[in-house]
Amino acid sequence: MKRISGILLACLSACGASQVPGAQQANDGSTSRLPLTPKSLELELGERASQAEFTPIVELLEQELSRSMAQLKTLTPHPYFLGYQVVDRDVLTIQASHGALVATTHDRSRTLDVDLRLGSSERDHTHRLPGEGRASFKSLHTLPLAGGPQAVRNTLWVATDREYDAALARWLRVQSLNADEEAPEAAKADFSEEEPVSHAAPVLLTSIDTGSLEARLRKLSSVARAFPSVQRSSAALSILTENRYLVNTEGTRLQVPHRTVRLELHAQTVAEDGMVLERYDSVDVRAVEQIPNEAALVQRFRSLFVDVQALAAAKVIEPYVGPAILDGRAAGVFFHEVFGHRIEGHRQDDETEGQTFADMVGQQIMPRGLNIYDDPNVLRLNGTELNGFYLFDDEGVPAQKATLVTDGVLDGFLLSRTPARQFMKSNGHGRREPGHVVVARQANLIVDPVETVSRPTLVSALLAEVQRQGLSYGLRFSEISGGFTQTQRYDTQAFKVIPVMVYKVFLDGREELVRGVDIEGTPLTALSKIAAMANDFQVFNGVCGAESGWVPVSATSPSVLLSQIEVARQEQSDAKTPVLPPPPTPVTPEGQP
Amino acid sequence: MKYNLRSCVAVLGLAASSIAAPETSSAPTPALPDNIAPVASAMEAELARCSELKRPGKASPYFVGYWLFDVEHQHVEAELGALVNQRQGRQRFLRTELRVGSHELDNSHYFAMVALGSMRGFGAPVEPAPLDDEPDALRRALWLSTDNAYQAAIELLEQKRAERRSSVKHSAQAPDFSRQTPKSVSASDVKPLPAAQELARNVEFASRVFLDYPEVYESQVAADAWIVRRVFVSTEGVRSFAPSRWVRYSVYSSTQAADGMPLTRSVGRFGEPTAAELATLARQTADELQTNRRAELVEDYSGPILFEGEAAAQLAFELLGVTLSGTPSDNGDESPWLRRLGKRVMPKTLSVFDDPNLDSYRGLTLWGGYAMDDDGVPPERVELIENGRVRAFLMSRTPNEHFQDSNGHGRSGPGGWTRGSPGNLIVHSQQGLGQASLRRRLLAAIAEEGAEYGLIVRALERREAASGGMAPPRPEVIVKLYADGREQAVRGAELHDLTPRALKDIIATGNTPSVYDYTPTIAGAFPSAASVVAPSLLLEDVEVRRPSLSHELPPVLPRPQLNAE
Repeated sequence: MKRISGILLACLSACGASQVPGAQQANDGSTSRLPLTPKSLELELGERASQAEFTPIVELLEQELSRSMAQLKTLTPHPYFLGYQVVDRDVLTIQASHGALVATTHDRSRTLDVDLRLGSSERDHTHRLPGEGRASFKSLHTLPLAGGPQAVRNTLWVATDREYDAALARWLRVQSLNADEEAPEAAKADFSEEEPVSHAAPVLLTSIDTGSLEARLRKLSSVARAFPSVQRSSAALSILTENRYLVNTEGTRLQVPHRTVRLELHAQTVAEDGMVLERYDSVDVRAVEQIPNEAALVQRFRSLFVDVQALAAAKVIEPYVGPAILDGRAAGVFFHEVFGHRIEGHRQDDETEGQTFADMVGQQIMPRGLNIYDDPNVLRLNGTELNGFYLFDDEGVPAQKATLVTDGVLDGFLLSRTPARQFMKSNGHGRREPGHVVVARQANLIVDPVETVSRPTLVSALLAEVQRQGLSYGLRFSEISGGFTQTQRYDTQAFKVIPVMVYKVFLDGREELVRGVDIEGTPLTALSKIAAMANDFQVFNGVCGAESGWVPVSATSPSVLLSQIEVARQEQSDAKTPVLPPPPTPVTPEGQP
Repeated sequence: MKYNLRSCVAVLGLAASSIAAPETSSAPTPALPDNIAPVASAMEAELARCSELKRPGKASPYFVGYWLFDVEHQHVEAELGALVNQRQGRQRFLRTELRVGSHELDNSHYFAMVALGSMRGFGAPVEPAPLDDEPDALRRALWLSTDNAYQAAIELLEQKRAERRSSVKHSAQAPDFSRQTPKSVSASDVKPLPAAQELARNVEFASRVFLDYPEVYESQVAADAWIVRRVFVSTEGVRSFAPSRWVRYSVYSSTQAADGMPLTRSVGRFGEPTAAELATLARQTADELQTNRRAELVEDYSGPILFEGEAAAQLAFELLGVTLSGTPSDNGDESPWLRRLGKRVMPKTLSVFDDPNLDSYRGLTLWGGYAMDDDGVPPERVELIENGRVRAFLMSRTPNEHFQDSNGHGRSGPGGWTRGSPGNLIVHSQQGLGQASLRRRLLAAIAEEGAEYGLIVRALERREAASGGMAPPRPEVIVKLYADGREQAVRGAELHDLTPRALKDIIATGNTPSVYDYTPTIAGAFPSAASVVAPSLLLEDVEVRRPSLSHELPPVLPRPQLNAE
């Protein structure tokens, strides 16, 4: 099974819950009896910046688009839609460990994705064929990093021709499909009608002083010297500068820049019994200048070492069924996995999927008072940059707030231009990594309850619930790293996240760190156990991998009290503690404990 | 004795010509370059701790070797005059070779499932190492890597012993590791790589040539420049340093014939040609592909074929590259020629040797030289085939039942166990014919067969790995030669059933050698360089078939005019 590193929200699918428990009302310990405290949630939206000039590549793409389409029109059958997306990427990564540089890489690429559709928007060559899995990868072509009009033209020609060949082969199969092989409830179209848009933001250029960043990372990574028993650690910075260009035969033309700066910190060791213990932290900002100062970073990094040392010394959890608090970041990951992946539009009409929520629009699926939406337009939330920010999706549709749950009732899905059930329009969530087929994905998932309580009230409610269930302690999950969600029918309908920092909370309020915790369960049951939510919103920024590749996302939630959660002990690994002690390491002043 | 390496090499005691006998390294160790010595010392500090490496009830390692690979790489790629890809970087890798047990039986060359989905034993573990010359960080990486290697090794050895006890072997079991102590080697550093801008200018310039060829649909000109510096220390007292550096250009072009058949032409050129020379190479490639596009489809053929120039050298690589390796595979498979030791496998007029100490041969530059192989052993010249008879094999430190010692041909890159492999493999003939005589000899062979024409192969599809004839490369330039001396290009030829046995029936050879240079890809390693030299070869009976049906359609859209601006 794919193991996902902590800062990734990995969302591969597998699941298929055979049995979907009916939506349940929130159980007894609901918020109604708790004293409420108001929340503070400030959303800062990104602005559609003033129009800039389109760069020459856009003009060239448009010329070739018209030329290709004019020639394609003479063929039978001929496409009704053609789109070119070009992505310029400049990626600088610097990694250091134990005071030494491990790698610096700088990659630049300009890639082309061609989207061509044969047939009509009601029914085209992308139409689902019974029993066939969704195509995930498509050919990715390389264009000159700058200029090179002849090479651009030639590659567009080759790529368009191949795309037509592939579409034609599939279109012949779609045409031979019988009406009785179609799912009656599936959407009645294959491609949504959308207004064309034209938008040009200034192109982002890269100019980075690599040397000074390398020096900063070397210094930061030397924190490790104070913790010789922690086996492996690293500090890695990646700066991604992207300019996306998109043109299509409906008249859309876009020039949209994007930059993410991500610092990942990691520490790992092995306990005496062979259990591998790790902690991740990440800083996600939009400019190098926004990276916190050295003292703040050293403190954050040190706390990871302190945590893994504490984990190595902690007791292994025993199986547990009872109430738990998920702190905000942990709850964000939980909602991303348990809920977010199941409301992606393309899963609803796909009979190989579990289709957990496909028929539940208008029904209550969560406790009353709970609202959930996904809004890519949100740039900052309570001052924190959100990783899932964008203004236009990869099909050229303006990003829109997708209202998913209102007052506990399911409103709709995350939608690309592929219609799902009764939803015939995109809400701007069609996303991909270059070289993949676009599907609906999460961007900034925000769990926003109407009624919130204070954090102390939430803890008291946990202890009351512990007492009520006749237990001696409850659990608190403060960090969960991304897990995976299984959405497919032939797998067990379950979700899995990887709890990292879990505490037993005793009735006297004392906490004890435990390790080796696995949460298990089915999605709807888990959601139905939400008993209360605090007003302490936290953001989890990450990168999510699924059918259409890796895309940046965020998940925001306040702390959540679940009246019941099931916990098992992790499987044993075969790792072993080293035979020899570590080599002697001089401790530098900044690494002093 | 001549030491190639694009740098000068000082082998200790200058007695490198007689490495065959195992000897202890009692002689003084050659000095390492100033920037390398501290790195080697940090490696030795961890090596010294390996004697304490012992789990209760288990053995300590009897051998530990540490390799540090410092790899600099530049890659540029251009299409139709524009740069489409540029990468440059430097990385360091550690390779920890740790052996428990004894020279007769140890944990090497054995792999096993140790946990669900987790395999162990695919060579010595390789992992990234600090780029900075920072002894503490390097020692820490070595400590963890050594521990992982040790824990895996004791488990593997136990499983391997259990498996040996429960199976019957019908021939003598060769030992796992040769008892010989390589000499220490130290070379001066190589010159820096060419500037990235220079490589970029060259490939952009040469790739522009294809604008003149509307019938060539896709094309690329690329350059790869490498420096691989290797530091090796071992518990046998070896302390060595050897760098290598090479630049390779490649031209790739492809198109489709009018019936849709995909056609390619790919060439490689090692060294540092000028932009103009590179453009000439590109133009020649484009001309050949354009000719192929218009050529008629080949007919099924069986009879004499003349492999000319570089195609002959590549054929020698394809058929000899793996067959002359004396290293058994991990599941015990050996070269079929080990059973034919002393027997004739080629005409008496032909001999084959390999010598990584050469840097040129009869005016041809060779790229497969090195100062030590990937077991740390300085290379020897090996007479592999003498007057048509198999005499020796390319050996790493893994013995086979006939040969115990390495002759300095163990190559692997950082991944996988080393295998005996070519460095500079040379096929030479005592009775070579001039080009015209060779053609006449082909025509005579056709006449004997009563055939209408014979075939000449001038270029094969480029490959970096030899298959021993299992899947021979496709001819990219192949012509019919008629009795009246007329030549006619054909396309779509595939060589069929061409095994090393075909070399026994060589009718005649040329008198001018050609070279095929390649970058061996073994076990996922980053490349090294190697060269194979051979004269033109006329084979008595080779089968050529036209390919089975292709489903590729010719383009439906007309190609855009590219030379408009």
